[in-house]
Formats: sequence, C-alpha cells, structure tokens
Amino acid sequence: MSKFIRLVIEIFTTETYLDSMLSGFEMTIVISLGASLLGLVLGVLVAITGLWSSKSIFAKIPKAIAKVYVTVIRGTPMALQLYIMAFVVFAIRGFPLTVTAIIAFGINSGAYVSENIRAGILSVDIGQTEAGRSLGLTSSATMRKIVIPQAIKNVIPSIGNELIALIKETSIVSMIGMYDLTCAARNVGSGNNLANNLAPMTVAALFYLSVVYLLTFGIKRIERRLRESDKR
Amino acid sequence: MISVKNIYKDFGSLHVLKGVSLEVEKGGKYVIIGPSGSGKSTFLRCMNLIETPTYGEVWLDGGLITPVDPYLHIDVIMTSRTFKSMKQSTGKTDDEIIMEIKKKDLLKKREGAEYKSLIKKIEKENTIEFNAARQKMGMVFQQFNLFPHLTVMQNMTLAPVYNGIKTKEQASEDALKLLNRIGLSDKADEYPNKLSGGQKQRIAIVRALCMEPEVMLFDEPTSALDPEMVGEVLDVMKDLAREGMTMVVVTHEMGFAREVGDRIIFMDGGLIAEEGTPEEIFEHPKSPRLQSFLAKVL
Repeated sequence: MSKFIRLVIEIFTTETYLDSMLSGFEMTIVISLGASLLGLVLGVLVAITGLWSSKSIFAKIPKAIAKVYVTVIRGTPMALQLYIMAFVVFAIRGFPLTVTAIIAFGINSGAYVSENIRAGILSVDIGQTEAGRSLGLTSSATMRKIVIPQAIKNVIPSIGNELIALIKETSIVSMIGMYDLTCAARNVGSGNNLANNLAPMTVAALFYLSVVYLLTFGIKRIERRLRESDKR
Repeated sequence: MISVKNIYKDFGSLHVLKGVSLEVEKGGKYVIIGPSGSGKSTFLRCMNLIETPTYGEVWLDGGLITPVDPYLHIDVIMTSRTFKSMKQSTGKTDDEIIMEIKKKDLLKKREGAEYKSLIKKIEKENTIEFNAARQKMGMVFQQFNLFPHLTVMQNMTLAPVYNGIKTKEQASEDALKLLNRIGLSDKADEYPNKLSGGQKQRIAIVRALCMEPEVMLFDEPTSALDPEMVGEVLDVMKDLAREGMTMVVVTHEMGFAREVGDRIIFMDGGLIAEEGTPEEIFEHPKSPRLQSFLAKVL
C-alpha cells in the first residue's frame, strides 16, 4: 500500500511523468470538447431534418440521408469508424490526427445526440403544438417558443449522458497512434519509466472521474434551473 | 361567418366524419352533443384545421381555409377526364354522371391540365392564409394545454405579441383585465402547474380571448375537471355567451346546452343526426337514436 502511495506521489512530483500525464489529459479534453461541439451541432441539424414534416422532394432527400447516417453510425463500432477516418478518409500525409479524431468522434456523437433530441421533441405533448397553432402561431414559432423550450428540459439529462460516454470513449484514440490520457498512463507505467501500471492508471482514472464529476454537477444545476416551472 | 361544407375525415380505414356541414352565424351559440366516438371533437378540430379534412371545405368570412375539394365544384368535376370518358362510354346525363362520381369517389390524381388549372384558379381566388384565419378562432381544449414553461401572464401575451396584434404593454394590460374578470389576477405570475384544473381551464379560455377572436371553439372544456370545478368554468362560458360571442361548444353538459345553446347539433356515427333549437332537441327529439341518447344522459 505504501509503495502504491509513494508511486502516485512520484507521478505528481516527477516533472517528466506529470508532463506526460498532463499532455495526454489535454489531448483527451481537446478531442472531447471539439467532438461534443461538432456532435451537438450535427445532432440538432439531423434531428430537425428527421422531424421535417414536409412531403416535398427537398425534404425527402435530406431525411433519407439523416436516416442512413444514424443507422450506419449507431450500427458500427466506434473503433472501426475511427480507423476508417484515420486510414481511409483522412489518410493524407500531414493531416493533423487531432482533427481526424474530433471529426470521427463528432460524427459518432451526432448520431446519438440527434436521437436524444428527436425523442425529447416527440415527448412534448401534441396538445402543446395544437394550442400554439390554435393561437395563430406559425409552425416554426410554435416549435421555437413552445415545443423546444419544453423539449430541452427533457433532453438535457440524456445529452449529458452522451457527453460523459463520449469523454470516456476518446480513450481509444491510442489505436490510431494518438497520445491521450489513457495512452499516457500506459507510457508512464511502462518498464522504461515507472515499471508499475496500477499507480498511473489510478491517476488517469482520477482525472477522468473528476472531469465527469464536474460535468455531471454542471448538468444537474442546469436541470434544476429548468425545472423551476415544474414546482407545485 | 364559418361555413363548413360536407366534411369527411378518415383516419386510415376509420371514417370518423362522413359528410358534415354547418353554417355558423355571427353571435350564434352552437352546441354539439352526441355519444363518444360520434366525431364531435374531430368535427370541431376540422373547423380550425387542427385536423385537415380528407374532403370538404371550410370557409371563414368568405375565405377558403382548406384545400379545394373538387367534389364540391360541379364545374371542376365536369372538366375532369373521368367525367369526359364516362360521358362518352355511358349514355347517362350530366347530372347522373356527376352524382355517380360524387357517390363513388371516382376522381383520381390524373385528371388533366384543364381540371388542375381550374382547381388552382379557385384556390387562388378564395384561399386565405390559415394562420391568420386561426387567429380569429379561439380554441379551448379538454386538456387545457396551457404552456407549462411560461407563467400565466406569458401564456396569455405570447401569441398576441408575437403575431403583432398588440404591443407588449397593451397585451399585459388586457390580460390583467381578463384575469380580473375571472377573479384570478393574483395568479398572473404563477406557473400553470400550481393551479387547479378549473383555474387552468378558465385561464385557457381567457388566453384564447387575448387574441380577440371572432368565434370561440370549445372542445369538451369540462370533461377533464373534477365535478366541483365544472361550475366555475361554465360560468365563464355563460358570461361570454351573454356578451354575444359566437360559440361552438362540444360538451356533455346538457344543462349548459339547454341554457346557452340556440342551436343544438346531435351527432352520431360521423353524421349530424338531428339539429334544432334546444326545445326541439330536448323536449321533442325525433330520431330514436337521439331519444335513447337523451334517456341515458338526462
């Protein structure tokens, strides 16, 4: 036990180890942030496309694309998608791997986010739309002023879930040779360095845990504020 | 004011309305009664296009708000290919053919350019924008449908301000007046979830009034209420009737129908089975169906 504590302290006090862990951590954060932003934007766009009720050809084609996108992304493993991005789509010499990873994870996340948003919008009682329309609001005004504000409340918890899952899932980027937090833990624990896996991996776990905990806390606060009108 | 012409509504293979017509005149109080599943609510919802009728037209103040129904225009039928080919192949008169087309729903999508352009022409000449039309028709729902994320005041001012009918100050001033009238001005800044069912429904009524509609449609406004709260909602509606508001009310409250209605419409099986003054309907019902219905509910 005392050896474990000594090794943990060593990681935090030895400059090379700490730098190694921090640069890995930075990479994890950069990919997570970039991918979640991209995922949110994509998710909203795809969800809106999916809920488009027009029957014209201009609506049908994007709707079909959105459907295929969600089906394919949710039906194939993330690791495979990452490989395809890195070794097929962006297999260009000198193309920054970070960007590749952000795009791969963003596209993946977008599919899940869009489904969450779609479910959130559909969960708002149809009577709300009817009431809005009966007051002479246009369908887009009804959507913006009445349905979406209520949908957000329903969607926030599941979007939070998706972001948490995304942060942890970025740990597979070492498969395309990137240096993230998980990879850093492997490196610091290797025979050339600390020659112990438990300590650096525990430290990495603590890093992940603290980010996820902060995120959860933030989401809870937002939720609480949005639930203000639910009090009876 | 509102003219509903021969409305049909199908939900898949279920035929809910089978040709219902109604002329709503200014200041009239129309009460629609009937057993559940008779299409009363669907009919009301077709009037302000919350449901789009499968066939039939709805006119508001001389403007068409539904798509054109070819079966309602004899000149349209007569330009159709179906009509022309039937005229050639059978020896029937024009009237017989028109009757047959109407009866058997024979018009198809491909009826030729002349037919299409005639429909377009009718549409162009008569159609009015239905969002504007809806603003003239206030609607009150069985489930209140207040917006839970907005306060009572915001519920009432959102639509008039957004639609540019009133300024924000004017809208809140009017809203307060209306709330005062129903004795709920102290609830202006509450969220709907804190209110009782009766309060919610009274606010839903004045929310619709904020748009200054010409006619109010009520879709079973008291059916979701506890019995003790029915009275307060009916009182607001009676007040409204006394002021001369044009009203179309779907309800199971026979007492209200008799007291307020000046035209009672009894619907059964997607059709208007009987129609008349309260006296005619309640004292001298003609059809056996209405008699048995009244025997059950009165």
